[in-house]
Amino acid sequence: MWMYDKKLEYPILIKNPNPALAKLIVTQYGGPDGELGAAVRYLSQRFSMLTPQARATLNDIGTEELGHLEMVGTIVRQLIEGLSDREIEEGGFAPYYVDHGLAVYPMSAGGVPFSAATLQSLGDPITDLTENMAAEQKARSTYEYLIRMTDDPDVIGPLKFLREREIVHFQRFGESLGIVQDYLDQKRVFAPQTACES
Amino acid sequence: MNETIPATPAAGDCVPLETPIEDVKLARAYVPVQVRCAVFTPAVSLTKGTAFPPLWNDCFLRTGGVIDD
Amino acid sequence: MTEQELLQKIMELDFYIIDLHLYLNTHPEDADAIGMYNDAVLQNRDLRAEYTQKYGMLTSNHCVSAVPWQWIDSPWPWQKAANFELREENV
Repeated sequence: MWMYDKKLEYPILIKNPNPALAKLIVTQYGGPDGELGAAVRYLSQRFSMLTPQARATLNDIGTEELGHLEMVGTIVRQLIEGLSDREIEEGGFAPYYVDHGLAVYPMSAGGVPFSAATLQSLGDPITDLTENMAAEQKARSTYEYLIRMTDDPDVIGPLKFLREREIVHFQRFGESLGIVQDYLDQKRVFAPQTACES
Repeated sequence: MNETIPATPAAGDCVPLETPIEDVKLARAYVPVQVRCAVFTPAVSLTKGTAFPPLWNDCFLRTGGVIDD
Repeated sequence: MTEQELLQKIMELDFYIIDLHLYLNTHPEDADAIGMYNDAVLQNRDLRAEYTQKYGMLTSNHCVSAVPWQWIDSPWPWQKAANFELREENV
């Protein structure tokens, strides 16, 4: 189960409001390659994963993604809290505002609400781990695009941190894939009657 | 904590960085397994986003948009 | 140490522990890394105990509270008052 640690994984202190930027960054909150999708994907796949190493990896990276979700929500909120009506309109933020005020809502930069259709939990451990490697690359790319969209060091710092975490997660899923592949190869050697091919 | 670990070890301080992959088969994806060597201090790790120098990658196109060959 | 300096030290150790933890999940035989992990956890426990005693509850299950109930105290982690710029000179 989960406990809550009352601190962010990485500190976030944004001095300059920016609703237009918030509208982009929210995509890592509820968009197709964002942290909510990553957390749900890995925490769902763990139930059917094989090998202790891969199970632990899914469990713990899924848990870390919840912490990242919190970071992204924090960035969005700090970019929009206290905005005046004029700032909202001039920042092109009025469509979001009329639906969600100055709250944080899980959606993509294009306004599409969060959907599990962007993720898969398929049960075949090789398939799931390969899906996860792709997911980490998608998230890394999205962070790179977001980093290009701003010059604000208060925002770039946490985004670069989150991008680096995707690279590390990719490595761990890759290692888990090797462990699962070796395990399945052995299973076929010792229990050929249950194998699906030679 | 191990005080002899330098604050920013160079990647070349631990070679090879990965284990070789044996008995490679077609139609499979392989990621080299990390070999641990020196790690960053906790303070440096947090700023970089990892404790492991070979996994730290700050290198991507920050400006100028698309790579267009 | 100020509250912010102590919180930064805890954040640094927590993160170092997380990254080592993920590494150990795929490298369970690395005894030296387990030693590094355990050292960091023990050091972190002391810092967290100090933080809780001086400034308030950090986790929802393992910290004691004064009266009135401290858990609900501001600031919460997403609020600006709870955050700071990572100080490079400590790094």
